[in-house]
Amino acid sequence: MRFRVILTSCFRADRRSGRNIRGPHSALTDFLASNNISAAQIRDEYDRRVADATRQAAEEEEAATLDREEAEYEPTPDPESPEDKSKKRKRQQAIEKIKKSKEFARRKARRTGEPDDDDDALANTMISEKQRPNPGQLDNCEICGKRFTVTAYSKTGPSGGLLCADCSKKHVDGGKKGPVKKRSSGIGRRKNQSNLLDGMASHGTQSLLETCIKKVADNIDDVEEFGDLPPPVMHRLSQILSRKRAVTSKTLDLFLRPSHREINIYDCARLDTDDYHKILASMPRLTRLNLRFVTPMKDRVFQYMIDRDMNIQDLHLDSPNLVTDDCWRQVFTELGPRLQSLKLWNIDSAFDDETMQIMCKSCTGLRRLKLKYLWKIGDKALESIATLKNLEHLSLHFSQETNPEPLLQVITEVAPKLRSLSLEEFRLADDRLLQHIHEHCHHLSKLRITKNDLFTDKELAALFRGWSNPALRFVDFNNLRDVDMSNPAGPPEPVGLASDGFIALMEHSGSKIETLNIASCRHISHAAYEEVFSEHKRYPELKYLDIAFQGVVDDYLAQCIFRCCPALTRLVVFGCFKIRDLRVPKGVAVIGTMGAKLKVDGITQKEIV
Amino acid sequence: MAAMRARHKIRAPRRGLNAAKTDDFDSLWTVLSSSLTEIHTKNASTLSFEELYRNAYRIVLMMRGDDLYESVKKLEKDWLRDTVQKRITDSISSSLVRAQESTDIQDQSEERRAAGEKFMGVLKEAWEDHQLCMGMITDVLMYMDRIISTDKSKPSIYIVSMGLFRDYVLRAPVRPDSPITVADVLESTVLFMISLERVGHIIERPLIRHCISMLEGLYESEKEEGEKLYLSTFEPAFIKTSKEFYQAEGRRLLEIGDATTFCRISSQRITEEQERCLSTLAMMTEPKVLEVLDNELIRKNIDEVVMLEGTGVRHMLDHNLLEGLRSVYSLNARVDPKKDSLARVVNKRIVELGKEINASSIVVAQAAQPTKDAKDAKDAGTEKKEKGKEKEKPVNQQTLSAIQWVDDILALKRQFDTVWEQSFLSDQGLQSSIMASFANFINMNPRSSEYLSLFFDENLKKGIKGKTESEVDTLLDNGITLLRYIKDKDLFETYYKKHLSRRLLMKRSASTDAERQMISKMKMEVGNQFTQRIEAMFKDMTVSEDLTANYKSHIARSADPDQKPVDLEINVLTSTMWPMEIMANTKDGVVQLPCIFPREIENLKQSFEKFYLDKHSGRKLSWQAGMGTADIRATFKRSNGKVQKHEINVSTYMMVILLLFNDLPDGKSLSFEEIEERTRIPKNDLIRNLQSLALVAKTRILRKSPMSREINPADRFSFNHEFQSPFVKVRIGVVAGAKVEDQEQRKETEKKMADERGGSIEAAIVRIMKQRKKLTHSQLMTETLTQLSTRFVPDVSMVKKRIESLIDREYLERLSEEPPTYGYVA
Amino acid sequence: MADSTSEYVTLVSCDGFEFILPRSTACISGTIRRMLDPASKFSEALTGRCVLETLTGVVLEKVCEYFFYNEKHKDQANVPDMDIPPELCLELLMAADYLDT
Repeated sequence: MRFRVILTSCFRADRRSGRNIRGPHSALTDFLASNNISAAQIRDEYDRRVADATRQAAEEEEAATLDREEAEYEPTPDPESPEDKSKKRKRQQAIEKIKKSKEFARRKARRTGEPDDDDDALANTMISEKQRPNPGQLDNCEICGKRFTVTAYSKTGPSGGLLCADCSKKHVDGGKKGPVKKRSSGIGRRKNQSNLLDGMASHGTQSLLETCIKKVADNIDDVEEFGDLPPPVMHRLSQILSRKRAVTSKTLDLFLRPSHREINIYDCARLDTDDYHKILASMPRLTRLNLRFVTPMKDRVFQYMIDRDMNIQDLHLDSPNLVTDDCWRQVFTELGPRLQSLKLWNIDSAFDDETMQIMCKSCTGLRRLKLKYLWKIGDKALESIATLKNLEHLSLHFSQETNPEPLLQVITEVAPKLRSLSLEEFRLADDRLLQHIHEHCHHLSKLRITKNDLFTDKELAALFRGWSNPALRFVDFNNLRDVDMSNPAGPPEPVGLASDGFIALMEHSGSKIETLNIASCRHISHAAYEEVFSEHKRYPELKYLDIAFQGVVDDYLAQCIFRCCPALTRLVVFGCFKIRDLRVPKGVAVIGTMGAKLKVDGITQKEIV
Repeated sequence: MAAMRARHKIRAPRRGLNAAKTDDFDSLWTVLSSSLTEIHTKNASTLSFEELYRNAYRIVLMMRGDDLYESVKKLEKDWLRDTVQKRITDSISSSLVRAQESTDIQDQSEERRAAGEKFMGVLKEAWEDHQLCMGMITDVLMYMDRIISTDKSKPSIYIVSMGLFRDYVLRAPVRPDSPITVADVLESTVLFMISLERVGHIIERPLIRHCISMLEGLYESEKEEGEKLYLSTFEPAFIKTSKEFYQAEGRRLLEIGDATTFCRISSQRITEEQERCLSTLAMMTEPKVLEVLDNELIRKNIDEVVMLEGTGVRHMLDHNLLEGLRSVYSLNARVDPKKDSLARVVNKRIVELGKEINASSIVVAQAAQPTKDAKDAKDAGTEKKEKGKEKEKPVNQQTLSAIQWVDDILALKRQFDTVWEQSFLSDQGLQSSIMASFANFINMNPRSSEYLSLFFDENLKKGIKGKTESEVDTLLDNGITLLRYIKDKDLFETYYKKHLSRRLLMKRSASTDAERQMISKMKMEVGNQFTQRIEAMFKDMTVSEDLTANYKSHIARSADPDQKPVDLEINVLTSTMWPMEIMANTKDGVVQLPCIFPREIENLKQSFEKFYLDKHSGRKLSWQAGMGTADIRATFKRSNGKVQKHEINVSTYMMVILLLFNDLPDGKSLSFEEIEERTRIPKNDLIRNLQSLALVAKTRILRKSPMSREINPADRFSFNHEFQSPFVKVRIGVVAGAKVEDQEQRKETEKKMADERGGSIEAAIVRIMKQRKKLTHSQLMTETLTQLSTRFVPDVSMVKKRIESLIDREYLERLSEEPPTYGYVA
Repeated sequence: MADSTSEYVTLVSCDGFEFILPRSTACISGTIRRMLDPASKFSEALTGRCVLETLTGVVLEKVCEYFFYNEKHKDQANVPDMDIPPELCLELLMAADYLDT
């Protein structure tokens, strides 16, 4: 048996059989009827599934929810009550009138998703609201019958009339809820700001996939099994769950898929040592192990890995602090040659220069290396890194202060294949580093050098001028600036990324650049901005731009930026106090304004941060 | 709804919704692979997208995506290698393969062309099919691409399949074991077609365009930085053949030896290549092929073309072939922003023509020279017969030649202005180079300044009569244009002042307005400083008018009734502003004693001097008798007793001479020496004035004995009572000194000029040093030269001499020798 | 009943429910868009009818609801997520992944 349904809007007209009052037939119902089809059949199919799903639910719960359901709706006067006929007719006319009103349509729209949506009920609610006296008028209390002055705060009684102040209190004390708070038509300001910070410009709907992933994450405790989810979806779920701190032993099981080759858990804080075993044991084909906040991970987890001779190629671990140097060395000796990428964060008790040396000696196939906040390594480690000739991606952020020379050696040795290079907070590195990069790197597409006050603007400009390297896609130069509180204008020979360097950078990489972070590079002049974002310049790929704490940027420059960057989705402007009043193009998230007026698509929102 | 919010387990979708089908890779792939083949054989309409997509989806979810990727790759490879490749190689006729080896274009061109078109047609079709099918296959496999390509380690299946087409079709040998590939044949075929088109055949452009766009769509490698095949293989080959073609074309056109043809065909070729890039090849090739064309066809040949005997630029200029010149210009402009080749020829021609003008003016002048004396004599004899008409003519041949010279140059200028405007598109660079050429030949004529001044003189005296304001304006503008070219503007100033002073004092100027207009034009052109003195001359004239009027009323008031009233009209000239020869009362260093005036005149003179010096004490008036005129009422007692009265307008000197005869009894005569002694008129002037009075038939008031053409010291003069004139008023002109200077006068002018320049140079040096305090020799030289360049171009040795002289006089000091540096001594 | 240029297309669930909706609305799904691409020669493109063997009528209905929801809100700011019954969310998630929506 086949049904044909035409959906002309996204609302399903839903008639619960057994109701006495029926509103006029919707177009859909009419259509269905004329085709000899009953919407009830579709409805029944749905109900059957609901019933299936709820069969296990406890009776009490059901009862409770039924109560709640009742409470959710305004008690309406019984339409069959003995009102005189003219009153009834009047009321009926009023209902018809209201149903035609815009307000009705709006409210109806707001209530979508609630299956009990009923035109008549809604209309009744509205009519009784309409008949209420306005604030300032007098009315009799529904419960005690006293006359009182109606205020904006006057509560509605059980049968729809208003209550005096005393009865209102009692009414609430009595556990009866007031009318359900109206759901706002949009998402709240907080959520909006949160989305902004996530870089999601707020317009249009999210993809169904993303909506569902979030929904699944919200209900993760009720999920028995994911089914055949593809790895990217699993990855995204893991991200959301990690962010919610919801990855537990139990939810971890959902991610353990013997056929999958990778696992990514961004917050393992609630897992224990056995859970790591479980991961390794249940995913024998694992090649990529990406676990963050793995404090309880111990030597024996690695021992297991070695014993099973697992084919781990990508090892990304954040804070495995209970793993000893001996164990690290053994891991690298045994499994090192297979490693293609190694990323480690936050190790303070182990992992010293010698371990580093063994790692570099064993892991000759490493193409990607990221080391951040490993407390025990320093200059010697850099010397070891210089022996890794196959590196394509190198990202270092040391805790110890290192000398500039070993770093130069790293660049000289590993540069030929490097495609991305990230050096954060090497405070002692100087212009020579830039010269080495200029000379040795020819295939970079990503470059991050941050937090340094020794590089000169001149050398930064020289890095980009006549550089054989193609245009970069990713550049992060945040905090390259002079720090001398007594001299805010900076030295006469600019230090850090200043005007000239900025112009040279954009000339070199403007055609391809996607991400640019120059936060706190505060010596870039207004004129340099004007030149870089002058009328005929275009940066077609630039999506993310961070210019936080660049005091010179004003409304005019921001508009210039929008003009020159058609693909922009995020603009970070913390501390740019001259931005007061902006017209933001659709699809761009402007983050970090202070009380500025932002105008998007004609909607003005006063932002109060 | 609430019921649904109850806690319950969310279960995964039932797996194997279509449980009937097995979930094993091989069976799924079998279905998929046969369907993909169906797509290639264009039977897609029987296939359900959903089914294929679902199968791929299932395989990927089984974590077999990589296997699927590889299998598809292999399937595509096999398809291309076994089916498409064969189809293509079959379409390549053996004649095409053979043609690959031979280089002769004309060799069986018709056959090759047909075979080439067939081959390209098949290739185009194969490429289009491949693109379409791969588009469909990629769509079907989109789920695989989405999951597999997330980490960007693998290119999408579409990109891979394009690479396969390149490797298994384009790079396949045309025959087993042949080193020649399909791409080679394509390249040579397209190049062959283009060469056909270049010799005038019509070819199948859209077909070639399709094949080219295929090369544009394919890359050398699957990586991002891979270069387009078009750029890496075809374009270099095309550029190479184009280079050869245009080298040959250049030779061929030069052999024809016609500049106009060369230009026409070159322009045609440019358009052709542009069109070719637009419709047959790729736009990005246009600049490159045009560069080849510019280089090979134009840059290497333009010099020769421009110089071509009988058809080149000279010919075009002489025959005013503006169209031809314009195409030469636009070709030259393509390869050289300065258009040197063209400019050289144009400049050379201008100088040649200019020299001709110079030469002809000298010829005219010389023709005039020998006859000059004779003419003067003739004038003397025939004056009476030639009347008013004669006066309209320029006084002599020299002036005529000067004016002819200016007119010729202006005509030449007009001619080149037209060429410049219409053919050279008002090009700035050429304008200045043309100007330089004009300046060049104009300054070759040592008399240019004088001639130009004469031109103005003539026009301001007579030329502008009866002309409208705008005509006058144009006339003056033309002259000013020439002034622009003249290097030694100070020399011009000297002449202009000289001529102007004559116009002013002799009241010969036709229009004061025109004079003033002229001054303002010169001011615009040369600057304030230049016209300062000329303006001062005008000022003197107006002041003098007032003075005369004041003096008249002064006399009327204090008139001594006894005295005979003499009307006096005075011009008081500021001595520094007026030309030197007018003011000079020294000659060759000998102080000329002032002329002795008759008593009445002397009284008058003193009376005016008193009047003037009362007003302006501390000034010195010196009387320039040489410049004035006087009206005398003369009474002629005819031998028949009749008395005839004439009012005679004479020069001051003549008046002085004639008044001598007042005191002389009738019939007595005075010798030349006596006159000289009693008047102290400079000998030169005396001779000229006596000539006018005694030799010119019309105005013979004095009788000379013996009657001869020369004035000799021993000659005696007596009053001619028989003087006849039909008019009561008679004007007796002084026999004019040559208007154009003779050699001697010239030398003198030059000498004066040099002195004046010396002064200017010194003034400039001192001005500079005062400001700069310390300067090296070379810097000082440059600055001095720039400062003076508006007035004249000083001789370097002259500047050096002046510096020496200033050092001697301790205005400057030598500060060091290496480099030579001077200091200013305050 | 519909050809490749028709304004409406038909989506059919595995259990036989048919949904007729505007082509542009259905094409919010990347998979369906490609399926119906007039340039391709697949049977779906020719007939304007897509049989989706992996989706049940309930899920497909919800998917269609999303299509309209998406279309209605595409130019609005601050759109709340469409409400999804939790028990349906995993199935819908699979469908969304499958349909590239």
